[in-house]
Amino acid sequence: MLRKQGGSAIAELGPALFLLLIVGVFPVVDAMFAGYTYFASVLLNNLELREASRIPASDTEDAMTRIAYNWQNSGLGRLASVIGQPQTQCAYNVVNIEGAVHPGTETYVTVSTTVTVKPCCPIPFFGKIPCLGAPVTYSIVGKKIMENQSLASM
Amino acid sequence: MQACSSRRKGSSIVETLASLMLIIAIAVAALDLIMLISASQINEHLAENAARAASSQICELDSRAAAATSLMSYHPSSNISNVEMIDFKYDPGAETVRVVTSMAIELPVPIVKTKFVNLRADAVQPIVGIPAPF
Repeated sequence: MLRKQGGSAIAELGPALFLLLIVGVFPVVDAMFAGYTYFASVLLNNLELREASRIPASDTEDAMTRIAYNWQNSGLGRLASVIGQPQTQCAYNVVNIEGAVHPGTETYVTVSTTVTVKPCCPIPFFGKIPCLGAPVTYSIVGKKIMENQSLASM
Repeated sequence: MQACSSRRKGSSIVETLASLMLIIAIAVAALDLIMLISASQINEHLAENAARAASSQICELDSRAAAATSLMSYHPSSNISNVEMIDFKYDPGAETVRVVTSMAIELPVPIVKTKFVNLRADAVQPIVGIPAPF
């Protein structure tokens, strides 16, 4: 009787460990990593947005490429295993100030950053689920007022 | 012996249910917390933008209008029901403009009868719109 019980415990260990890792540990690690990569992408978008709001529109493409390159080679970007290069788009929009004594405008720059990252521990059984088995794409959009409105048309 | 076995089975079901309830409560709290942090970030950002827009105007009326226009450019989502400017101070003496915004958030899962939460954000910017005297 005692011998059987001991054997069953060892026999159950394999499937239990398998379930614990596949259903418990790896998905949690992947979810934590997904959170990390999302906030790393938000940081990249913030860096690009801050720069885009203070440079001429004609310089944004070079600046965005440079910032993305530096981010990818820094600690945060390196740890987030990005597939390819982060894609950045900038757009400007002019808004009339309503109710102003002296009519004027505000110019906003909108920076959208798209980053595709691989999961930390790809789980074979969840091959089509983003961030568990498949790459996940984050699209972060930030909007900020231009420091100098005239730079938007330069 | 059979009674003992059924008791063991029953206790394991009770333990599973109890632990599930705890896990669900933690998950719900985490969901609400993520929503609050995310909305708080948006509110801070809106207040900063409004203060920055206000700081580049030449008088208080224009400054207030610029801040209000900046806030209006934000379109609330399903969980963020309202964003408004609750305080505005244009201080030429201190050369600063201060904007305080309030954001009403509907929690995805209400906690202890708390369905709506109000967040405040405060931003101060130096006034840069007044031309320097020559």
